[in-house]
Amino acid sequence: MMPTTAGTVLHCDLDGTLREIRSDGLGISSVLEIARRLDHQVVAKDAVMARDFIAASKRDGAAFNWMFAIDLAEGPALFRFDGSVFDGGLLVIVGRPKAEAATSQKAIDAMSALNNGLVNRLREMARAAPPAGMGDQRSPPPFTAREHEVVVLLLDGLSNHLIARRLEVEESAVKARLRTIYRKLGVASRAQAVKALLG
Amino acid sequence: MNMVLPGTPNGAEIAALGVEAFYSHHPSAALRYPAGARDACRRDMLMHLIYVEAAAALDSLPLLIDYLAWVRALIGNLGLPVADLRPALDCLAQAVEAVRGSQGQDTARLLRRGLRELDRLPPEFASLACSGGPLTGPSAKFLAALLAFDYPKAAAILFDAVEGGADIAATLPDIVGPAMREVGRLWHRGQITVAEEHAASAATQVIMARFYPRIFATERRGPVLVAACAEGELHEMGLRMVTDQFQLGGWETHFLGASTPPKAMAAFAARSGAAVVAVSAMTVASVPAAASLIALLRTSPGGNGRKILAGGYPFSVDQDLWRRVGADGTAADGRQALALADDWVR
Ligand code: B12
Repeated sequence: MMPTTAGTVLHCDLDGTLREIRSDGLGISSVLEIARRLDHQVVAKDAVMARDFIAASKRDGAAFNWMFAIDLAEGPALFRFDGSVFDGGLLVIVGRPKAEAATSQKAIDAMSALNNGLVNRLREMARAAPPAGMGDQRSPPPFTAREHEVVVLLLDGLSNHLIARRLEVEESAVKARLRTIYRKLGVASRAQAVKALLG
Repeated sequence: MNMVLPGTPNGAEIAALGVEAFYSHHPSAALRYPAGARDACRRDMLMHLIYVEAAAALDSLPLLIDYLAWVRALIGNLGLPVADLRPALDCLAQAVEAVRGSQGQDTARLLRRGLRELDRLPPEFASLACSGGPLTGPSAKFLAALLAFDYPKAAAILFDAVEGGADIAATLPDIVGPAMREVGRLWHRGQITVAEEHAASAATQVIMARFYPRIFATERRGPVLVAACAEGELHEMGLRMVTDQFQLGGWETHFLGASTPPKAMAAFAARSGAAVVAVSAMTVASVPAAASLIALLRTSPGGNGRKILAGGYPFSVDQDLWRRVGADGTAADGRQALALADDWVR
């Protein structure tokens, strides 16, 4: 009935550092093997998703450090994970089938508490911040779903023409969305936009 | 009211007794279940005990029946023999009588009555947690994005909805609430793992936190709300949404979060001069803790004239429960809760 939580954990920091964590079943292990192996281990398996989440984490600032995990042995097809926000990141534990149920329940509770703690801190931070202009400074550019589609393909290095084909829209529509994206990012060119999105 | 809190002394003993009785009355069980199943069986039995004792302490047949229907469906969804539930619970009733004396007899009586009632209900009778139509509109899209791990897209759906002119107070709960309830149903039906459920709800909370700068930018009128989940209660998203609704409604709000120790809540409510306190319980098991927290809030400093709201899933199942836990009112969601509290402080 319970998920399994012992196994390999990948935790992505804001600077793109990928930490590979051996989990002892309690979610957070004492041994942190810091491995800068993003290219080989994540990108090689699913480049688009990896880039997408890193872009998102950078765009979102400290509190929104999303991560993407794959079981290093089994690959992304075998997602069995348990995720929560941890130290400003979304910590995802890739499960292994044989962990003990009681242990994984403890892990779930611990993760839940970490996540709740983070969100409550954000709530208090918002209270403490002066209301005026707060929204503009802190929140990431709120992209609409359509703009988001363009952002993803833009980061993939696609031309306007290819983006239009992929999304099955006119090239002029892509250009219009790009103009809004530039405006929201406060930039003037494609290169600047990519730079802003990737931090 | 006799409060029996989760983790009550003898809980494990009673569960073990019930399991032994089950195995000795039903020798075939030992053959049907794999070796080592007894441990799992004891854990499940303890869960039944905690829920049943809580329902008995609250004298709530509706909550008991809702739990029985929920657990029966869960067992079926897990592919386990549903027919074993009834005899297992009969054994639990005997065990609780044997260990707890007269209080145990009350519990056993309610349990047996619940089982009889459940038999009388049509077989398709479902727990409130399992009911509800298919998701539509932005809720469905939001959930699809969550389950595809596309969190930026899930966030974009919420931002889109708010940019379309709708106000945050109405929009967020309307999109997120149904999606989360569907997450619960999918988990219950075994269509997603606890892990996926967990990732979806963690992501949802963090995405919603992005609205805090806007939520706290609204003008505050003054009345103070202090909100907390009962001790042992880990579900906090629902109460957080209720609290945020008050903040948007011009209140100054303090959200103390999951599993708040009663004394901390009482002290905080006194210090912050709360006009209203809100207490949440999402499972039957934590309602007794909510009741003792409410009792403490009544007698602690500032308790005079301070109103108490209680809410969460069990309060929707048993409509009269709020009275029995000693609250001044309940509400199904943040909108209704705000309307009620605004009325109180007017
Ligand atoms: C996310 C979730 C979790 C997360 C919670 C994370 C968090 N930070 O909140 C975690 C992983 C911790 C969790 C754990 C468990 N969960 Co859970 N969980 C859910 C889920 C999927 C969503 C909850 C949610 O946020 N809903 C959305 C909000 C908006 O709705 P809401 O919570 O009902 O709140 C609204 C109203 O109830 C009301 N309200 C709530 N509080 C208050 C208070 C006041 C004063 C007022 C006026 C109103 C009010 O207003 C809210 C806004 O509209 C639900 C499914 C569901 N149906 O809700 C299951 C569910 C509640 N969980 C369930 C279960 C069984 C569990 C566990 C026991 C599982 C386990 N074996 O470990 C544990 C218990 C942990 C504990 N000790 O409390 C069952 C409960 C069934 C039952 N018979 O009681 C549910 C219903 C799933 C299901 N369909 O079977 N869970």
